[in-house]
Amino acid sequence: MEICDGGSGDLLGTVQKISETMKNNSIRKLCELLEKDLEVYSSFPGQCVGTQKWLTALQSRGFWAVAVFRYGYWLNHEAQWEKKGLCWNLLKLLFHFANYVIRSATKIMIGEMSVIGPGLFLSNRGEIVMGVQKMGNHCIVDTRVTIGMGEDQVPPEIGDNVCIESDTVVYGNIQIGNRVHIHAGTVLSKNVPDDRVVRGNPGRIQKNTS
Amino acid sequence: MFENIKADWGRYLSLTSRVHESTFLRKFHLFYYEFGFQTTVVHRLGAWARTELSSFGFIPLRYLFLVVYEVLHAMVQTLYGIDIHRHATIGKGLYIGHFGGIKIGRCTMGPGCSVHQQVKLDDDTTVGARVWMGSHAVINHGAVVEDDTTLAPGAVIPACGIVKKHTLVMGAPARVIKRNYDNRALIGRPLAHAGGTK
Repeated sequence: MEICDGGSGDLLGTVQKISETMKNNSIRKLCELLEKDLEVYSSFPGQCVGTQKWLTALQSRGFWAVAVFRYGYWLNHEAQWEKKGLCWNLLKLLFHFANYVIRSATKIMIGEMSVIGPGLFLSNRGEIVMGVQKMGNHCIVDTRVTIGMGEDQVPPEIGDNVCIESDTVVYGNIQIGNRVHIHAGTVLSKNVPDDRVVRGNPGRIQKNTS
Repeated sequence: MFENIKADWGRYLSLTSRVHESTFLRKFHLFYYEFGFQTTVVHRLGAWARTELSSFGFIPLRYLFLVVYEVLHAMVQTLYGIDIHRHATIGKGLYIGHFGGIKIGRCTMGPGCSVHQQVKLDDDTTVGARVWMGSHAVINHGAVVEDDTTLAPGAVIPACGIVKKHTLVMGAPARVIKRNYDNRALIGRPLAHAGGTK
């Protein structure tokens, strides 16, 4: 994923500068993250391989939102620019435009500062508002879900392999463990340990019997 | 109309200034970045054309504005998922946080309210002044919510229910958690630019 391989010559000077700043494997990391997300999307209706994967990427609206979020995160944190000049600002403008389109087309909004692990699945039906401190790997978020901060303006922290069903609100300065299943219509505002099931409004925490 | 829009703008400014510094650019950021603000402006336009513009007696102008309103209303509804009924009477200083799945029926709302995503307000509901409705809150038809109340996220108020002043309400169906709950921090400065104080 390198832009140019040691191109020599004065004309290529500007291109070289860009490639130097964009090196350090940050673009490769971005692509690997996107591939992991795409694997989740392509595994849901049944395994598909090769070009079919890219078809699912075009069809699934949740993946659009994830891709735009990853791009924005990469732009803000991973891309190592010496100084944020015109090129960075143009890329940022592109991000804002893409974000606007995603918001109005899918109604999905992900906070720019949230740190989310690979393998995120957002429902293709959208209507998700999500701002988290940290989110682990392979999480599933269904439609009409809100994850956000409470009165103390601190968003929650979520572990690995968490499944959040539809019509759920998770808010406040809380920590949710790994392998937690949050049922539909839950309103959750307290800490949850590992391997639990949460249901009800206000949410009750139960042991996983299955 | 412009007084109302100015009050709305003031609400947005006072609530976003907690997170960002309100610079000159940030103030005009609102016009394209806050979908809720755009929706309220469209609603104010419709309400103004329907009620106040008719007093001029120049009828075609009024119909022109109403057609423009209908087009903008449909656009806003499909793009942002915020559906404000054309006959809803809303006091000045409405704040809509986020977007998607918001339905405000034919109801009456006081000044300085806050609405968040997935909130459903049925027809014939009455909402007082400075009410904070958290996300996914539902107010069923005929319910009355009095001044300065706070609905926690996910609160469902049953049909024809009454919520008293200064209470915090939570759960489905809604139960009173606190009698004297102060929601001034959540509301921010109501009617910041209209010159009114609480």
